[in-house]
Amino acid sequence: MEPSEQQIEELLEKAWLTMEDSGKLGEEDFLRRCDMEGLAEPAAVLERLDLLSRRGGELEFTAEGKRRAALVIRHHRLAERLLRDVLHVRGGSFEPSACAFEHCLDAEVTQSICTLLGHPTSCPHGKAIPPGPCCAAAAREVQPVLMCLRDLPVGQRARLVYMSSSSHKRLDQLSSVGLLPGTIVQLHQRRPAFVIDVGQTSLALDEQIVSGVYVRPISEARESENDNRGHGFRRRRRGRGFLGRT
Amino acid sequence: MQNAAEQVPDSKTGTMRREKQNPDLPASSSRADRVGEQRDKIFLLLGNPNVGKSVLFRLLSGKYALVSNYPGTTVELSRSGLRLEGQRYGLIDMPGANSLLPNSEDEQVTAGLILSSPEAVVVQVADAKNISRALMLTVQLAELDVPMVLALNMWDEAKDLHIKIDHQRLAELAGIRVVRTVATERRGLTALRHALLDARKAQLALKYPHAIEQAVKEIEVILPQELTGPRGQALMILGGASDPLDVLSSQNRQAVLEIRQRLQERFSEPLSYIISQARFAYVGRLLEPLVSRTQPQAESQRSGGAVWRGVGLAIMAFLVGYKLADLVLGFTAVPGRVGQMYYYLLLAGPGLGCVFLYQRFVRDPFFDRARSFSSLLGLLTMRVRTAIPLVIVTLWLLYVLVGKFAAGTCVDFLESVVFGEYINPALMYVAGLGLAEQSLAYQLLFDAEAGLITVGLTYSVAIVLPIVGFFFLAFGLLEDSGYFPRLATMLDKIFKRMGLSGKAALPMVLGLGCATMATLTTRVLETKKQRTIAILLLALAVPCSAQLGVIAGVLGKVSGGAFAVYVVVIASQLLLVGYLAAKILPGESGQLILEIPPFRVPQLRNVLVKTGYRLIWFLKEAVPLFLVGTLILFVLIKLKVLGALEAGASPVISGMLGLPGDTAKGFLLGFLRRDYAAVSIFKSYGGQAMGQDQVLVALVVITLFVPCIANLFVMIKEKGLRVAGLMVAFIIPFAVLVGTALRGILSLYRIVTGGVN
Repeated sequence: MEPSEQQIEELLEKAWLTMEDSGKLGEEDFLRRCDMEGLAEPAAVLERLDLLSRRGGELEFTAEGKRRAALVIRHHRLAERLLRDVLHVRGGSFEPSACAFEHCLDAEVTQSICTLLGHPTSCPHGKAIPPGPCCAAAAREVQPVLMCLRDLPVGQRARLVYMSSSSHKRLDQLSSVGLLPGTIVQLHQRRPAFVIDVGQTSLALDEQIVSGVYVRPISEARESENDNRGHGFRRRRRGRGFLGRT
Repeated sequence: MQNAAEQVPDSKTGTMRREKQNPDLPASSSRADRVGEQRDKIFLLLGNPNVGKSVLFRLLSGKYALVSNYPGTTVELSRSGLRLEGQRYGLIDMPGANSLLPNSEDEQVTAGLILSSPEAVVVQVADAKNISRALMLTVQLAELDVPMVLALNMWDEAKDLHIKIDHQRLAELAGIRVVRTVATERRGLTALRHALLDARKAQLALKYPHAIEQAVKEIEVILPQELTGPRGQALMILGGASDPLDVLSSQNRQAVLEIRQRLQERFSEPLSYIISQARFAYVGRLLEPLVSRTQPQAESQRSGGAVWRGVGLAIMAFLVGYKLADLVLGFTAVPGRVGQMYYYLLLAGPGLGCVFLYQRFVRDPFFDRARSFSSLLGLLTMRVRTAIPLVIVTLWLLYVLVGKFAAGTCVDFLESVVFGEYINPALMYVAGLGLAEQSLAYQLLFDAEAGLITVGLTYSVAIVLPIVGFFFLAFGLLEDSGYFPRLATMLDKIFKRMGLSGKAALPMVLGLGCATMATLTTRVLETKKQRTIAILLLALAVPCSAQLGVIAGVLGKVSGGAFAVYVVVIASQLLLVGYLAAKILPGESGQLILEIPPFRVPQLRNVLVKTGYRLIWFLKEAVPLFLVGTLILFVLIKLKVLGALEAGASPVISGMLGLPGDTAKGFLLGFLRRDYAAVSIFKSYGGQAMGQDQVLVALVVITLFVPCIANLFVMIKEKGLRVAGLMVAFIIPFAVLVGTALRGILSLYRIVTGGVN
C-alpha cells in the first residue's frame, strides 16, 4: 500500500521530533514514535522516497527530507500558536485540531498566519518553530511579536491587530469608541484600571476587556513613517493648562 | 443633575408635527416671507459624547443646558428654538452617541430620533482632534441621506496639538458645509448659523465587502418606497438595529431577518463589527491627505512650561502631604502635647515626603507628554499612589467649604442675623398690623414649630440654600475639570464587587448632587442589571447635596470622629447591599469602557452660571416642597394627629432607635425632601435635644431611609411600579435595622470605654 501524503508528513514529523529530543535520529526511538501510525517499516518508506538516508547504519535526513520535515513542524506549531493565542482553543480539542490543521496549510496561508502572529519563534510548549522566508525578512526589520494589550509595556505604542470577545455587543461598544483593527494605541497605566490612548481619546478599560485585544508593538525606528498619518499619531495630551498655555 | 432646560423624556417623536417639504432650506432671504412653512423645521445636535453639543445648544438657542466635562451629561432631549434670518426653527440637543447602532439607552434616544425625523437637519458636532471618530458618524448620516452640517469644535485644542485639518478640502469631498468652532469661546458661531441654512446630504459613498453590498440591495427592495436613506437603514438592520424594522410588516420583517441571518453565517465576526471596520478603513483613507500633524518644534516652550510645572507640582504636593499628616495626627493626642512650632515642623516632614513622591512619579519619561500643569494633574489623578492623597485632601476641602463655612458661618449669619433679626421680625410686625397673634392665619405663618415663614421659609432659604449653593459651586468646579471620570476609573475595582463597572461611579457621584437626576443618568450604563443596582444604591445610600451638606454641618459640630463613623457606616452599607444585589440579581454585570476627557481648568463663568441655574432650580423645586411639608406639619399639629403618629411610631423611633419621639416628624417630612429630615435634626442637636450618639443614629437612618418623593417618581418611571415598590419595601426596614444595630454598637462602645454620652 502506498502511503498517503498525510501519512508521510506524520512520519517526517516523528523523525523531526526524534532528532529534536535526542539530537540524533535513533532508529529504535523513531520506530517507537511511529507505532501508532500503523504503517509497516516507516523508515524504509521514507528511505524509498529519498527523504531519509542511511549512513553507516545511522538514519539521517536527506536535504529534501529535512526541508519538508521542517515545514510540517512549522505548520503544526504555528497552528498551535494560532489556536491557543488567537482562537483561545483550550483543553481536549487543542492538539487534535493542531494536528489536522498542519496538513491543510499552503505556503501563502502559512506566511499570513506567521505574519499575523508576529513571526513567533516558539510554540506554546516552548519548542522552536522552524523559521520561514517571511521570518527572515521580518528579522531584518526587527518587528516584534503580536501580543495581548494586557502585556504591552506602559508607554509602548502598538497597532491593534484584532479583538476577540464572546459578546457581539462588546465588540460594537469597543469599535464605537474608536477601537478597531489598524488603530494605534498606547498603554498609559495598568492599575487600578487599564488606561489607553486611542488617537486623541483616553479610554479606561478593565482587564477582562483588555485581555481580548491583540496588538503589534511599533518599534520606535519606524515611528516617523506613522507620524504623518491622519489618525493614531503619538498623542501629546494637553488640557487648557493655566500654567503651560502659550 | 437637573437640567434647567425643558426636558422631554419621550423619545417617540411621532407627536412632532412636521410638514412635507424640500429638505434643502432656502438660503436666500428673498424667501424669508414664507415663515409659516418653515416653522416646523428642526435642527438636531448630534455628535460623540463630550464634544460640546450642549454648549452649542445654549449659544444657538439662548436656552440653558447643563454643560460639564464628562461624557453623558445630557441623557435626555432638550428642546428649544433658534432664530435664523428672521425665522424660527426647532433645535434639539441630543445625548451623545458614538454610533447610530445604540449601545445604551441614551444612545437609543438619539438613534431613535434621527430615524423618526427624516426631514430634520442634523448639526453634527465633532471634536476636531478626534476627527476620525466623528467621521464614522458622518458616514452613517450620509448613508441615511440626512441633510447635515459639520461643526469641527474644539478647534483650538487641535491647534494646540499641532493637528492640521484641511477643512475646506473635507467640505469639498463630503459635499457639506464644514465650520470650525470653539464653542466655549463663542468662536465660529456666525459661520455656523450661516451654514445651517445650507445643509446638504453628505456624499460619502463607500463600498462594503461584496456579500454585504448584495444583502443591502436585497433589503432595499423590501423596505417601503417612501423611506428615506434606504441604504443606511438596510445597513443598520444588518448591524443589528431593531428600530428600522418597526415600519415593516411581519412578513417582510421575517424576510429581512433571514437575509441578515444568511449573511452572518458567511462571516465569523459580527456583521456590525465588519461594517464598522469597513467604515473605519474608509475614514482612514479619506483623512490621510487631509490631516497632518507637525511635531512641536518649540522646545523652549516646553522648558518654560516645565519650570512652572515643577514649581506648581511641588507646592501642591507639599500642601497635600502637610494636610494629610495634619488629618492623621488630628485623631491622636500629639497636637496638644507638643508646642505649636514643633507641630508645624512635624507636618513639614510628610509635606516634603510628598514632594519627593510626586517628583519621582513625574520623572517617569511618560509624564513628559503632559506639558501643562493641568494635564499633569490629569495623569496624577489616575495613578493609585498619587491619586488617593489627592482624593482625601479634595474631600477635606469640600468638607471645610460646605460643612464648616457654608453650614457654619453662612447659616449662622443668615438664620440668626438676616432672618432672625430682620426679615422675620419685620414680617411679623407687618402681619401683626392686620392679624391677631392668636388667629389661625398668624400662627400658620409664624408658629414656632410649624410656621410657613418661621420654619418653612427659614429652613429652606437660611439653612439649606447656602449649603447647596456652596456644594454646587465646588461640585461644578470638579465636574468641569474632568475629575469625575478619573475617580470612576479609580473606583472600578470596588464597583466590580457590586456588579457595576467604574462607569457607574458617575451616576453615584452625581447622586451627591441630586439622586433624582442621577437616577436618570443611569441610562448611560449598558446592562439592565447595572441600572437596577445603581438605582437601588442611589435611593438607599447616596445622600443628596442638601442632605449631605446639612449632615456635614451637624457632624461638624459634633466631632471629626463622628463624621468618620458616619462615612464608614454609609459606605459599608453601600458595599454590602451592592454586593448582595450583584449576587441575587440575574443578568450581565458591567465592564469598564469609559472615555476620559482631558483635564481642563474649569471656566469660572460656566461654573458660576451652572451654580446659578441649579440654585434657581432649588428655589423653584425645593422651597415650595418645604412650604408644603410645613403646611402638612401645621395641619397635623392642629388636628392633634401628630401626637398620635409619634405615639404610633414610638416603638420604632424610641424603642429600636432610641431617639426622641418628635424625630418621627422629621422622618415623615424627609419623604418630601430628604434635607427636611436633616434640617430637623440639625435644629434638634443645636437645641441640645439629642446626644451625640443619637444624632449619629438619626443621621444614618435618614440617609438610608426612603428616597424623596421626586426620586421615587423617577424610580417608578425608569424601573416600573413593581420594582420601585420592592426597592422601597426593602429600604425602609433595612434603614431601621442598620440604625438599631448602630445604636447597639455605640452603646456597647460607651459601656466598654466607660464614657458617657
